[in-house]
Order: sequence, then structure tokens, then C-alpha cells
Amino acid sequence: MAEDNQRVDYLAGFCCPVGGLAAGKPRVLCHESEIYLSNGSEFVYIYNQEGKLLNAVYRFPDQVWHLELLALRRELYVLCARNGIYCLSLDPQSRLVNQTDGEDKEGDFPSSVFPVDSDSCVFPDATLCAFTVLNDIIITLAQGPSKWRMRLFEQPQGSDRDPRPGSQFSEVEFSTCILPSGSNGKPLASRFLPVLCCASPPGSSVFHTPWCSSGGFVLEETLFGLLFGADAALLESPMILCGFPDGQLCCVPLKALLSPEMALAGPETPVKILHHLEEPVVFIGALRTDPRILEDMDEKPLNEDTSCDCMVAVGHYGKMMAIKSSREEGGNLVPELREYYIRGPILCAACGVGSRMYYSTHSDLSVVDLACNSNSSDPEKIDNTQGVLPPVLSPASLSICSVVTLSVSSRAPKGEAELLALSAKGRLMTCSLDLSSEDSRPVRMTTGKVGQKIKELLSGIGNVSERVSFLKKAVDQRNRALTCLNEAMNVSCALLSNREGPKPISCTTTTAWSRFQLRDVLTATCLLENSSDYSLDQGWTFCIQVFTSSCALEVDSVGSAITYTIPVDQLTPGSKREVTLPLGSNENGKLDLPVTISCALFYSLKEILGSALTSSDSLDAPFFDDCPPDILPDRDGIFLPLGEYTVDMLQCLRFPSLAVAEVQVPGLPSPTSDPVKTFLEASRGQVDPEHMKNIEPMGPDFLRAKYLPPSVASVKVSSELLKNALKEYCSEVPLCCATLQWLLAENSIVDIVKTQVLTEVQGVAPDGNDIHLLVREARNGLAHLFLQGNLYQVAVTELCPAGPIQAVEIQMESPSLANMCRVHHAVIRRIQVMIMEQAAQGSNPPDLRVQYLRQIHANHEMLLKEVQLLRDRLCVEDDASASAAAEKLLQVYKQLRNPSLILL
Amino acid sequence: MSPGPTAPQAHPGCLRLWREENDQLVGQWKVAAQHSGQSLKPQAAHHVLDGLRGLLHRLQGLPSALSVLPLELTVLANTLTLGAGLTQRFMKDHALDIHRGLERVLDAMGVPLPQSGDLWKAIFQSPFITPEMLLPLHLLVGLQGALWLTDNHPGDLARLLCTVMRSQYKESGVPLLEPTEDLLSLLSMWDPPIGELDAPVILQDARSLRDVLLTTAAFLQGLHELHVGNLLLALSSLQKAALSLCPRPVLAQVHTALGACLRKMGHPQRALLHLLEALKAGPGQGPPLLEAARLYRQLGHTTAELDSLRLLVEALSIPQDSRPPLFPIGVELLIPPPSPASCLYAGTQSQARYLLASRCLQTGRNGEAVEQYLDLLALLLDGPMSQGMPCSVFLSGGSQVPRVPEVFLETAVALIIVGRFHDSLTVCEELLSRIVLLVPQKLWLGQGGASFKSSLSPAPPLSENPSERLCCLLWASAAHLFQGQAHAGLGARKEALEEFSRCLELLFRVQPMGRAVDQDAGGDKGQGLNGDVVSSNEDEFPSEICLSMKVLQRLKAVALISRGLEWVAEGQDARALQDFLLGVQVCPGYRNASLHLLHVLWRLERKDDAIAIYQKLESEADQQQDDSEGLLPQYLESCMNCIGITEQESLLQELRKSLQRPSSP
Repeated sequence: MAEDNQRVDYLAGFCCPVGGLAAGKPRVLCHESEIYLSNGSEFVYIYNQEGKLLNAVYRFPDQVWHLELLALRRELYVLCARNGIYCLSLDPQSRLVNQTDGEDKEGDFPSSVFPVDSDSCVFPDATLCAFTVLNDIIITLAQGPSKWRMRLFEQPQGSDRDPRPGSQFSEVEFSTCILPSGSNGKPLASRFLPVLCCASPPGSSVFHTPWCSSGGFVLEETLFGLLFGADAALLESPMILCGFPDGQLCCVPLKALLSPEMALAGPETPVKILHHLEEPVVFIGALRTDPRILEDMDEKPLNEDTSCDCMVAVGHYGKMMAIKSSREEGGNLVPELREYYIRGPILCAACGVGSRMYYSTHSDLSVVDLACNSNSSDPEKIDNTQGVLPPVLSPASLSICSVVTLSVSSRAPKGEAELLALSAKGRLMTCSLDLSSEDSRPVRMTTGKVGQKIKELLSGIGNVSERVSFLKKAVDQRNRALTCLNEAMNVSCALLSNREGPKPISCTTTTAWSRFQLRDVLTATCLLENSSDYSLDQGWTFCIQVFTSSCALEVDSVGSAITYTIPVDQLTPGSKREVTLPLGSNENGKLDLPVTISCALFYSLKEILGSALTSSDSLDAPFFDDCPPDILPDRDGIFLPLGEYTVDMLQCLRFPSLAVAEVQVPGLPSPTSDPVKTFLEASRGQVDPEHMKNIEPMGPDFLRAKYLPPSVASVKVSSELLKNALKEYCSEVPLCCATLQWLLAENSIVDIVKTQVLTEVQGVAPDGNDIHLLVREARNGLAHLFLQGNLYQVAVTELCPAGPIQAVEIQMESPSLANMCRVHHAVIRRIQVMIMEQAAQGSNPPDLRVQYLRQIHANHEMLLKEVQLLRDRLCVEDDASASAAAEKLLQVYKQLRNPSLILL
Repeated sequence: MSPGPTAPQAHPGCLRLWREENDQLVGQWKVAAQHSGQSLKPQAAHHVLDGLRGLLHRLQGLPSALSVLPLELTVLANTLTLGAGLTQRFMKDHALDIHRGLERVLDAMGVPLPQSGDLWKAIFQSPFITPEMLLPLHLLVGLQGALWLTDNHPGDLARLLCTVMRSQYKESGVPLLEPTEDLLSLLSMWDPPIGELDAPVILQDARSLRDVLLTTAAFLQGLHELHVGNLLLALSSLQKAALSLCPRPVLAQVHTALGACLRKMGHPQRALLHLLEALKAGPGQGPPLLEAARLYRQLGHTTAELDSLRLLVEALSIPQDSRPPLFPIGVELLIPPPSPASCLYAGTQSQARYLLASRCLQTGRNGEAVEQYLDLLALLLDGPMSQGMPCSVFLSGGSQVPRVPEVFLETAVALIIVGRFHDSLTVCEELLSRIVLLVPQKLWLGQGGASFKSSLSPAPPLSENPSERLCCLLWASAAHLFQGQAHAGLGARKEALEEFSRCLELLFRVQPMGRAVDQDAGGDKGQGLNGDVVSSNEDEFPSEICLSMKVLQRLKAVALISRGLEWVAEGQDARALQDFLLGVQVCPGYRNASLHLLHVLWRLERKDDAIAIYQKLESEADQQQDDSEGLLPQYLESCMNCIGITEQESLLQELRKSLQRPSSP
């Protein structure tokens, strides 16, 4: 194969990031003995191939995306990301400074780096994504929010050039779809840049100057006419070809853009769509496949002007399109378009002078020949062949891996091709290929040649061994990743498939008060239990998320969440892991109830697959470097929720009056208060309890308790409903006791409540305020629903035509409004759950008088409206009226809460 | 520096800093705009714009708050004003920016985004608008209006103004009169609030924007009515625009439009006055000259018409400066560039030159036509790039200009008419060399029926279109025809005959589908050559193919006549007769073919046949001339004129006499 006839020389190494260079942005150009190189960083290097030394390094303000060289004018145009196009003059004088101090010729880097200042920025535009230079015209492609915009500028010529942008000729918009911007707001297009190049008809001398750029070729007359139409062919207008990341291949006649009015002509844009590759276009080029052209080329020196008879475009994922002119049955000339699929992802590609196209993937650099290999030398016969393009492509490997940018050097002697390649590791190399490789001629070895040959072989061995070790590593990593993935899938299936019954991996949460560093802290204990057949290995994380709900009383507060992630190193079947966390220590040490704890298992794909992917596909770094969240974000993985648990006031209440006997409740005063204060209070209490009574409660709480009436809320629930719901509680005790037991079921006090048959408890909230809970039962309906005040006998009358409905009233009372609200909320939540369950069981509500219900509803609506109005007023008004409004608001809330809520 | 009574105490410092930054940037810009020349303005504008964008970015990075909104909206309006001035037009980005700004306003007010998507309505109906916010909001209304006007949505603007004014009058307690639909009166009623002294500095206030909108709306409305054909309405709107304050270039446009309107209304003298006015307002302007040419053409003053066109070519050859950025937003910015169909579109130099050349050809000033055509070709092929290579229109596929090959063909025929046969040959050769490869070997029309519909399947290569292929074939055959005529002019009969035959060979490559069957069944070869099979299928073809088919038939006839004439010159009358006969059959309505046939028959002494033909001709002469006459391409018309029979009248008189002789006794 080609390997026998190829020679690889390493020229230099350039620094590269840890993951290797990314494809798409590095560029390498070659003119005479100078190589112009950018490796996707902010540097542009100029390397002399003959002297094997680095001539200059320029530093730009941002990543360099594209290079174009105007060899005649000795100017290098550089597209700098988010900045625009810079123009560097390559005159020797301007580099004089560099050469005087460039003594370190052996080193990879010269002693100084030239920062490029903004004066040489000729086209400042942050949205530019691609450009190409054609004689005096600079064609740029910028990304708008919904469209690509192509602009043409004239670059003023001559010595009196000023660095400011030349005059703009015209502008044209492409309505290709722009991929939606990434989650981080950065447009995805930065992954793939559009490709711009220029196809000229033969002999369009006006535009022809030897420019050295990645794009730009001369197309044979026939193909040009077929592709772009008679008008463009007659006017010899070069065509600008654009390959977009969405796969469209468009063309615009350059001459149509050169007049200022084109910006004006709206609907009649000269843009035509040539083809749609349906994947990002990474390369557009042209080839000379006709053997006759190639023969002609052998006689004449290689010339840029030799026209190409085949145009190709290559997509990132390996779809390739080739167009050639061919004769159909009737004898008409038609463009023949063929699509090929080569193994992608394609990192870069380049066309040589002949019929070969070179392209690089992660693992290999390959060459395909698009010449039709009909072995007849008879020209007529070739003309009559039906397909002028080969039906299938047979890529030949060149055994060079991970080349991120390629260019075909024009310096190669006749019969050879020389490729300039930059590998992902930052190595610049040349690869010389013998084009007449088919008949490998026996070569008589001279000693000099033997030396050369040995050198080549050694270099080849080095290259192959690098490739082998690289591939091996990649395979190992992939295997490992696959094993891990398999296990993860097993676990996921087990968790997700059987929804009935207990889950094989479960998490139970309990809360308790405990004392840390003289402070009482509410802790939650999550117990992860693996009763499945699989073990949870490396890669799994136990995630506990604690959501603190926003406190309704503070207007601006937003609920916050704390996430604890605990790596599960090894959890074999049957084993458990317990995690205890402190709850609700926000910055001021308060506990914002209710707190929701949600547990989940997370399997990070990045951790397992990331290594495998990055090692082999690092060349694809546009995926990872630029927008990791899109492809494999850190949080991407398998997420298996295990359950949710809410901690509310009822769970956190403590009952010192009840618990003295059994439970040693630590320090009664505010558990979250200052330890010093706690100490002082405790010692005072020891000294003189009587005294303490007089002195201690001077805080605002006390004052509030003394001068403000306690806040009260109540809820009425139909006895029937409760009886049905609380069957297991009701068997021995009256309904009221059962209700209280049910409410405090998750509190440790529940045992005492059970034993003492209580209907009323006095508790302490976490912040030390008293809370009074009372459950009453109405024996016979008397009271009216809307009566205010303390009624001991409650029942809901008039609502139901069948007579009063027996109801239970739950009354909550606390000097602190906030605590009362929290308890109210907790009670309502429980009742809500209960009602849902009951409704699911299909119990019927009693007959109701609808107009009463309606009236209740209307009352509530009115109150709600008032609340909204007041809240809005609170936002806009100044302090004085705001406080009045706040007071009003409180009143309304009070009305809402007490005692009008009924549950049937 | 009090940022307003409701400013939260949280960040008055930041608010003040931001405000100062805005004021400073605007001040910086105002200084730069006053003191620097035209050339430095864009740089300064870019700098200030970057600053404003940065500030806006920072403001919008925070959650929206009512207290910051007036500043934020002001900065947004400033950014938009400067940005639009710099890019010289309003773009979609600007609309998105405004939309985002409005969303933030609603967000700050706590108003949910309306389902209908009408953010403006939701904002102006919201009770939370503070007087501080009203000022920048009105500014944004103005900018949005400018956007809508340039986007040609005047109705949206009218609706928005209604909403704005309703909320305004509701506040002030004055009841609004009947909401009028008329945008102009709404605009003149709109009364944006005046900026207070302590408000953040703005680049362009809402009142000046309102005046700009008013002029623009009047002008655009006038243009629209003119386009639709409501000439009276157009006249009144345009006169309103002409009376309002507007810059000179716009005034020139308004007067040109008035001229066009009056011309259409049949007041040529008044139209001329307005055109004169337009020329005074802006020297070196193309549109009034073109309009004048149209006017003179309508009046039949060919000399004046051609003079106008010559002036037009000259005016357009002066490279126009690219428009300097406009600050602040003015009427020019809001007027969309004229569409090619508009009376304000002067086209490019090449277009004007083409118009001049073809008018010269049509009016028989062949010498000048040739010069103009040659200049045009030179301009198209290798005009200096610095002049902006004005061939765009010929490549943009617009309907206003002929295709490039047709320009070549017209040049060739003009050259033949003036007797420059060698040059004509060169032009034809050039054309043929470029398109000969695209000429189909065989063209079946009507294949499968669907092949003419432009298939939307992934981008067919351009030449796959069968009508394009037919065009190529027609051009190539016409080129051969002209080559034949040029050879004939040079006296090289053999070459001429060869070229005519080649032309016919190309033309007979086109086969209507299904014809082959008819031909075999009917066996009537002569009938097959005439156009009626094609015309019976006409409905199936798109119109461009229809016209192309007519051109094809006519080309066939012309080529046959040309060949026949050569045979006559050779003395082979029998062959000539055959060609003429075929010519008449191919194109029955074509009088010229019949005349030639008549001539030959007369000369061959086949008097009876001649008389029969003559009688048929006489009877046809009463009927209408072929309606496609005016639609044929210029090159074909001119070519048909050159092969006209010279001694037509004498022949016809002789025939009439001989007819009378047998009939009188």
C-alpha cells in the first residue's frame, strides 16, 4: 500500500493542551519554505522548513480560527475569535527585531512572542466565523441570531493603505437554520465553523492572483456552467461556496455581490443551494480526475490554474459529495452527483493536485482516489462510460493518526505529493507520498539512500508504535467503560422496572434532635439499603438534596437547596449505608420549615465514559472544550430518584412538659441560640428558678407573648372523613385523640400521646416559641360556621340539608405568627394527603347545599383578591403606607386561617 | 442625584454609577459627533456602542426591578439608536432586543407574559407604569415603530399607537376620540412625554423620532398607494411627505415619486416640474432621470428620452459613496431601498446602459446601439472592480433584466444591422463557446409532466431545470442564426448555409412529448411541424416554457427564411421554396414568411399558388396580429426586422393588379 512509498518527517512540536488539539480551528499553510501555523490557541507560528527554525510567534487576543495568506502582497490574514480579522505584514523588515534576538535556534520557541495590537485589526467584528480573501476582496461570514450574513469588503491596495476597514460592497443573508444556542448561551456554531471558498471559471484573469488559501480552485468550464448556470459562466464570475454547519452547501456569484445595490435587493437574492449534506460541512475542495488533465499536468509545471473537473464536499460524520459532469443517455451533459460514506468523524481534509483527496479521522489519515479507474487509455471510451465517478471509494490508510489539520504543499517534486499535517499532539510533520506508487520500481540502494531509508523506517516505526499504544489504550478504556455501563444498566432496570412493591434499593429517612457543640440540631438520617442482587460500585453517587422552602413571611426569600453527594464506593447486596445530616442551618442558623429531603442515586457517565471518550476522541475537542454541557456535561448521567421526605413543624415539635419523665430533652430555651446564652440561662435556672421567671423573659418573644394575643388558626374536618381515614388509630381511643396521634405520628412524642390519651398538647417550636395544639370534637351541631371566637362545640350546620355535619376542629395557637403558620401548613399538608388517599378509595362526601359552599368560596376569593392587592401595594409603596398595608395583610391572613376552613 | 422615590435602598450606588456611565457615554458620543469629521464617526460610534452594550449587558444580567427599569430602558433605546445608525438599518436583532426589554418590564411588574404575545398592550395596560418609565417606553415605541415601518407593518404601528394613546388619555382623563385607523393622524396625535432634566441622557428623543416616523409613514404610504394604483391617495400622501421636514435625498425621492404618480395620472407637465424639483434637490440622482425617460417615452419624444437615458448612464457611472452612517435616526434610515419594481429604482450603470442600448436598437439608432452594447459587454466582462462591478442585476435572476446570453445576442444582431459582421461573429463565438456544452442533445418537453415543476428535493443542480436547458438551446441556435447572417453579409454563402442548418438542427432537437406517437399515427409530416400540437398542450406548460416555445417556433421560421434567402441567392429556387413553405407551416401567423413564399412563387411563375397565398394573407391581415409579437425577445425582433422583404409593396401591388385582371372581366 501507500505505506511503502511514504516518508514522514517530524518538523517541530508545538504546545498543545492536555487533551490534545481540537480539530476545526487549527490551520496550517505553506508557501515556499515558510509554514504558517495556528493550533487553535491564540498563537500564530511562522516556521521555516528549510532552516528548521521558528521564525516568529504572534500572539492574538483570542483563539485563532482561520488563516489566509496573500503570498504576493506578503500579508497574512488571521481570523481571531470574537475579535475580527487581523492583517499581518510579513515583510522581513517588520520581523527584523525578531531575528536579531532569535539566537536560540534549536529551541522550539523563540525568545520572544509578538503580541498583535488592535491597530492591525482590519475588520473588527465579534460575530465573524469565517472569511476568505480573493485578490482585493475580503469575503466574511458572520453569524447573526437567526441568519448567516455574508459581507464583501474591498481591501484598499497600495502603499497608502490605512488599516481601517475598506468599503463594504454588499451584504447577503443566508437563511440556513442556525443550530439553537447551547445551554450555556454560547452559540453551538463555535463547534463547527462554516467553510468558505471560491470556485472560479477557467481564465477569469481579473480575479486570478496566486493566493494561498485553504479555499479557492478553478473549475472546468463544463462543470462550472452546469453547476452555476450560463449567466455566471458567461460573465466569468467566480462563485463563493459556503458550507454551513447545518449541512447546506450554498453558492453566490461573486460578481453579483460586488455592486452596492445587492444589499438592497430583497427577495431576489442570488443565493442558490447546491446540495444539503445534512451534517456539518468541514471541507469543500476540487479534484482533477480526468487522466488527460493529469497527463497535461505532467508536461506543464504544476499550476494553480489547472482546472478541476470534480468538486467535493465532506461532512463531519463522513458523508461526502462529489459532483462531476457526465453525459446522460440522450447525450446531454448533466452534473452527476454522488454521495459516499467514509468513516467519520472527519477532522480535516485536503485535496492535492491530482485526483486524490486526503482526510483525517481520529485513528488514521486516509487517501481516496476519485479518478475513475477504467483501465482503458482510450479517451472516447472514458467519455462513454456511464458513471464518471467511482461507484465506491476505497480509502487507503497512510497510518498517521489524529491529524487535526492538513494542507497539501506545492513544493513537492514532480510525481510526489507532500502533505503538511499537524497532529493532535501538536507535532508538525510532512508526509511525502510517491504518486506513481502502483508500480513500485526496484531501487538500487546506494549508501546514502540506505541511510535515508533506515531513517525513514525508524521514523515509520516510531509513528506506528505511537499509534498502536494509542489504540490499545483506547480499547482498554472502552472495555472498562462498557463493563461499568452494563452494571449501571442492571441497577437502573432493577430500580425502574418493578414499580409494585418495595424497591430493591430503598432509602428511608428519619429525623431526630441531637446535640452538637452545645446546640440542639435537628438531624435527618437517610438509610440507603441495597436489597437487590447487584452491587453498587464506583461511579455511583448517593445524592441527598435538602430543599429549604421559602418562608412565606419574607417577601423576597427564595427557596434554597443544599446537595450532599456521597460517593458509594461499594454497596454489596444486602448491605446498608447510613448518612446523617444536620438540617436547616441557613446562614442565620434558623431552621426554615418545611424542609424537603429528596434522595437519589446518580451514576456519572462523565466519570466512567469521559476518560474513554476523551482519550480517543480528544481530537474532537470541539465537543468537549467548547461546550461540554451540551455533549457530556458533568451532570449528565443516570439519575434514579429514590424518594422524597418532608420535614415539617409537626415532626420538629418538642414537648418538654410531657417528656420530662421519659425523654431527657436538652436545654429548653432556643436550641439554636448562642451557647453562651444557653449556659448563662441554664446556670441561672439552677440558681433560682423563681428569679429566673422574673428576669429571663424580657426578650421580644416575651413581650410579644405578653402584649400581642397569640395567633390562632383552626381547621375543621368532617368527623366522618377522619373516622374513615384513621381507622387504625380510632379503634381504642376517641376520634380527637386519634387525630392528635395521627398528627404527631412522626414525632417521638407519639408514644406518650398514645398512652395518655391526650387531645391537647403544649409544644415548643425549634426557635423556642410555644405552640398549642388542640383537637376538639363536635357532638351535636350547634355553632354557625362563620362565628368567630372560642367555641368549644363546633359543627357545621346549614351546609348539609341532612342536618349538621359532625366535625373535628384542630386548633393551633402560638405567640409567634411564623410558627403558627408553619404548624398550620404542616397540618393542612397532612390533611391534604389524607383526603387524596380517601378520594382514591372513593368515599362519598355528604349531600351539601351548594350555595353555602359557593358563598364560602366567594368569601375566600374576595380575601385572596385583597391579599394580592395588598401584596402589590407592599411592593410599590413607601415605608409608611407599606407598614399599614402589611398590617392589613396580616389581618386578612388571620381571617383566612381562622376558622373558616372546613374539610368534609 | 435621586434615582426616584421608589428606588430600593439596596443599590442606589450602583444605579447612580450605571446612570453616570450612560450619561458619560452619550456625552462622549455627542462630543465626537460634533467635533470630528465624517470619517472618524464610525470609530467613535463603535466605541460608544460597545460601552452601551456592555452596560446593557450588565443591567440585563440582573433580575429586572422596577426601580432600575427606566435606566435600563433608556440604555436599551440608546444602544438601539446608535446600533441602527451604525448598521444603517434596523435588523431582526433590534426587534429581539426590544422584545427582551419588554419581557423584562413585564417580569418586573409581575405581569405574566400575555398569551397573545402582545407585550406592548400588556405593558400599557398595567397599572405599575411610573412616569419615569413612560419616557423611555415612548422612546422604545418610537424605535419599534421605526422597525415596523421598515418591515412594512404599518398596521402594527397604528395598533400600538392606539394602545399607547388610550393609556395616556385614560390617565389624563381626557376621553379619546374615535380610534382612527389612519396611521398618519395617529402619529401626529401621538404626544411623547418630554424628558425631565434629571432623567438619564438619551441620544435621540421621542419627539424627533415621532417627526421622522411621520414623514416616513407618509412617504411609504404614498409609495404603497402608487404601487397599488390608488393614484389620488398616493398623491395626497406624497404631498404630505413633501411638505414635511425631510432631508434633501429623501425630498428628491418624494418628488420623483410625485412625478411618477402624476405621469400615471396623465399630467405630464406637472410630472416634469416635480422631476425637475427632484433633480434640484439631489444632483447626480438616477431615479428622476429614469422617470423622465419613461415620461418622454410615453410622450413619444425619443430624442429627449435617449438624452435622459444617457444622462442616467453618466449619473450612475459616478461611483456612489457608500452611505455614511446616519446619526441620529433619520428618514433615510427608515426608507427601505427601492425594490426593482419601484419608480425609485434606478438600477445599476449596466442596467441603464442596457436600457439605453436596447432603446437605441428599438428606435433604429443602430450605430449608437452598437456602441452602447459593446460598452456594456466590456463593463460586464472586465469592468474595474473598484467601480463596483455593476453586473449584479444580471446575475441576481431578477425579472427586470434580460439574461446575459440575450445581451450577447442583442449585441450580435446590432452589429449585423450596422454591417460589422466580423465583430458579430466574434460575439457569437464567445457566447457559443460558453454555452455549447450546456445545450441538450435531445429535449423532450412534457416528460412526465412533473419535470417542469421546480422540484424542491435537495437542491437540484442549477442546470437540471428543463426550461433552463431549453433557454440554452434557444440561445445557441440564435447564435448560429446570427453567425449565418453575418456570413451571408460577408458573402460566404456556404458557411452561412451551414450555420442556418446547424441552427435548425438545434431547434429540431426539441420534441414535445407525445408528438412522436401522433406523427407515426397521422403520418402527416407537414402538420407535425406547425405549432398547434404545442399550443394544444400549452396549459400543461408553465408560462416561461410557453413563451420559449413561441420563440422556438419563430426562430425556426426565421432560420428557414434566412436559409431560403440564401438558396434564392444561390439560384436554387426549388430549395428556397421548400424552406419558405416549411417556414410558413412552422409559424402560420408569421406574415413575413408568407410574403417570402409569395415572392418565390411569383418569381417561379406559379401564379395560382401565389394568389391563393395572397388571398389567405389578405384575409389574415384583417385578423389580429400574433399577440406574442411584443413579448418576443429583443434579439429576435431585431432579427426579424432585418430579414423583412424589401420590395414588399411593389410585389403586393403587382399581385393586386394580377388579381384584379382575372376578376374584372
